[in-house]
Amino acid sequence: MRRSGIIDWGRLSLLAPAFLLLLLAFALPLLAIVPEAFGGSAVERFLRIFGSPVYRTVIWTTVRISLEATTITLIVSFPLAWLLSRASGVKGLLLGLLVLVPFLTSVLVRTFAWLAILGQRGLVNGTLLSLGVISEPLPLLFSEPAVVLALVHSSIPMMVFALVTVLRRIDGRILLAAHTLGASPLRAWLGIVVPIAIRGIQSGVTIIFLFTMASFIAPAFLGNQRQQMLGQVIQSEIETGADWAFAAALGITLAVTATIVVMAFSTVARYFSRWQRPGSLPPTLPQQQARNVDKALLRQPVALPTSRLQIPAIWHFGARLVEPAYLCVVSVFILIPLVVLIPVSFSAADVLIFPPPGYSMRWFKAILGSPEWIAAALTSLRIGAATCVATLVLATLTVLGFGRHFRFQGALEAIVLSPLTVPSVVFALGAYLTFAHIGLVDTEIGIIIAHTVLIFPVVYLVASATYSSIDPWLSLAAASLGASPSRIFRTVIFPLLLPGLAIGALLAMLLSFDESVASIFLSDLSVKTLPRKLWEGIRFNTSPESAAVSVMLLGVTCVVVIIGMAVVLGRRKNALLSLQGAPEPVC
Amino acid sequence: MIGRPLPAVSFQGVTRRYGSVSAVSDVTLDIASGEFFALLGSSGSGKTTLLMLLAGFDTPTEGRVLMSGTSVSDVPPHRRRIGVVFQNYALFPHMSAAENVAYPLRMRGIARAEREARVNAALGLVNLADRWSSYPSQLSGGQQQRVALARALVFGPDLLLMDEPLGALDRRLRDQMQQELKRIQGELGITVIYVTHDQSEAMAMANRIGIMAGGRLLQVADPETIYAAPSNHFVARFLGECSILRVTATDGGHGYEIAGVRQPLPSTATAPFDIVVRPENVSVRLGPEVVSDSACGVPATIRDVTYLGAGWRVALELSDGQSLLASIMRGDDAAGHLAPGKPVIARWAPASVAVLPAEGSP
Repeated sequence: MRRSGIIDWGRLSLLAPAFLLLLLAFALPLLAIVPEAFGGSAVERFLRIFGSPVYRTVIWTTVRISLEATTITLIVSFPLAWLLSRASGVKGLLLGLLVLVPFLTSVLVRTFAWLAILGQRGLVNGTLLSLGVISEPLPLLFSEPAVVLALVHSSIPMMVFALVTVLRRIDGRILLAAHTLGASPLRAWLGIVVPIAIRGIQSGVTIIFLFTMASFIAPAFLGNQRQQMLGQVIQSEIETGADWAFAAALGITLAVTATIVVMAFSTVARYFSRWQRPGSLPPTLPQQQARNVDKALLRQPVALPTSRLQIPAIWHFGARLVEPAYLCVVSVFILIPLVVLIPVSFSAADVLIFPPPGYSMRWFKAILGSPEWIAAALTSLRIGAATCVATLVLATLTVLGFGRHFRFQGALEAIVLSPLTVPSVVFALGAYLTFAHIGLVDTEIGIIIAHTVLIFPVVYLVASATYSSIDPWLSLAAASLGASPSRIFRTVIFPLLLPGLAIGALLAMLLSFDESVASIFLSDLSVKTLPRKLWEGIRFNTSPESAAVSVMLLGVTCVVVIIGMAVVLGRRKNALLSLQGAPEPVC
Repeated sequence: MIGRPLPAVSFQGVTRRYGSVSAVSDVTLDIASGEFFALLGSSGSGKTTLLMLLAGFDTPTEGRVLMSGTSVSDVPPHRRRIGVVFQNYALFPHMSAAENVAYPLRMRGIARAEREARVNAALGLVNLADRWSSYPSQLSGGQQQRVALARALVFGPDLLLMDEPLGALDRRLRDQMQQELKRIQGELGITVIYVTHDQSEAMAMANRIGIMAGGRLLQVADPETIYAAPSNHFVARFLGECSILRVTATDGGHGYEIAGVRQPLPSTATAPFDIVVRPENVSVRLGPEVVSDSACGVPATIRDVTYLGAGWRVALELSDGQSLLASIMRGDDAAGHLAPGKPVIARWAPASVAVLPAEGSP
């Protein structure tokens, strides 16, 4: 199959479009930040950043908040990922939805919801006031904990996905083995599962850290003006159009800081995962020790020390409640920001109050009657559809181009996935600076290109997972039955690839529809996407109008998830039926 | 019961139901201290569930499990003092062989000096003292198996459970490990419960075998008895090759008639019964012209001959239409004349026959 030395032009031409896009629309914009940042009076610019206590505080705040959010996310998500990796049937489905629905909901919507929860007259203060616990509303908003809380909430799904892929591969019997050898449940967990999952932890922590470092929506909505984050400063520099060079310098600062921290992570992870790359085998000693084995020693039992504190029976009962209690708390935490917007959107009041003083449809009527919102929705739909088609075509070509083997596939795949590893604010900044020169800012084409770059890796991952699940012998079988390469693709490969592509298409559509970072950077007055309009709406006045839009976005997400589930479950049902029809293996 | 030591393990009416399905139903079984006991059954027969109940990963719906006379229902798995060797070894991939073996000692807070002595002894016992610092990924399947065994033995457990421990090894390695397991069990005198679906493995190693099917324990006996005198059709078919023949009782249960030929029975049977004949107990005479002692020979026709190296397996059709397997060794008189379609006389010693309750009879 593998032809070494000969360049396969056919497959190269399949790969060309994706790599051309990544070069022109991803690598070039990123590189464009560098001359912008270092052009002219570069020294003065960086002195302004590193010399002034204001910006040093911003950098420190960014790193601190990101580390806090990443740590909390890891601790909260790990048990959830473990339970998800072990669950099956209805429980697995529900846990999967618990992670998937927030993942597919716009970060903008999820962050906005915290305003309704933590506000002066929000859910928490409203509840506490009506219970008489407090007499005056607590100042929960515009504080560091509020930002961290929102970031943790946004990060949980991504962390769970990163962990689950690794945790799934752990054989549950390894935990049973630890128990039979005398490890208590907690020790078995910390000593066995966590170290084995180190790769998943590393990738999850890296993804979440990059995401939180680049966040500007959460600090802008929920943060304190004295505790700004880097992404926020960059965004406002671009929005006010003040100083591109300075914004570029800040972008470089962000990228370098993030890289330093991520490299520190990977050093730590490398130390803990050194067992995965064992050195050469130690020299084999002659088996002389084997002769004089002290078997008597092995006949003496070693008792497990009785635990110092006598655990009463009630504790054993309590241990059984740990899992349901944890799941309850996590589900409430994940779902409340999604659910709280529904009553708020039907509010009759002019401002965000929880519980609403009365209910009405006025905000929905206002949105549906507003040409601006309708235009924004149509813009988002057009952009989503175009992104969907573009990413799908690119992903299919790339998957087929790689095939089963390709030279330097690992490195090339890393390039394909690289948009996922760059803080989105940095890419959006680069895209803005580049597109501004060629008149693509504030155009639909510009946003479509940016979305395609950002979403193509996700669709590629889905398509490539589907492709690698197709048995390679099928192609050989089809060839032996007389099918030409093009007919093999049409009659065997493509039909099997289709479900993966359908899921990828849904995902691309939704991610583009909800994408906020590039949309906010690249759209302005003439082209407004729905997230961009929502961003403006929330910043200028937090009325239930934004809640109503958010609820409608949430509705779109739910519909897409249901369609996706129908596709997946429909296939699985067929598979199950055909399994049931098969004869039992005779024993 | 007086004067007998308490059994190491005792299942008393143990049942485990999952919803309406019984994975294990009403198992009562005593296993003596120092015994090598094999639980034999195909996949889904409930043998692994029984093991999990004993190890404490599952609790019986009914009945109870005792170890040395004490109920263990309130003892969590990590306090049961049972060493378990899992099917896929379940070695910790992030620990070296020695660290794996030291793990149970660390959990018990053993000081470093004793820990090293014990790890050394355990790895020496399984002839792996030179692989001290290798990671599981650097070890072969057989070596991983040995590390798992050393790890399960190093803390001096009362009982060793092994769940299909040799399933992943190739034939030659498996035979070698079987001998080694027997040796280690003899040296340590530990009680072993060994779960397997491989009947030859169970026969080769166990003092006693328990055969499970559909969650029930069908027969418990030593290997010779279970092979020579299976208690029902399932056990007879499960262990080795055999032919089960429908016969008519004669002489008030002292004999039987098959294909018009009367044969005596070593013991007396009362209820309607079938007989089990093992192929190695069947001899074949070329016939039918040499029928001198037809009283003990049944006329048959050769249907199929399979060459097995050491001899032949011959499928016969008796004159009443039932089929019978015979194994003919090299050097047998009939050896040179085996061909499908030939008429022969099949004979078997009356004492080699086992009697089973007839299938479908109450």
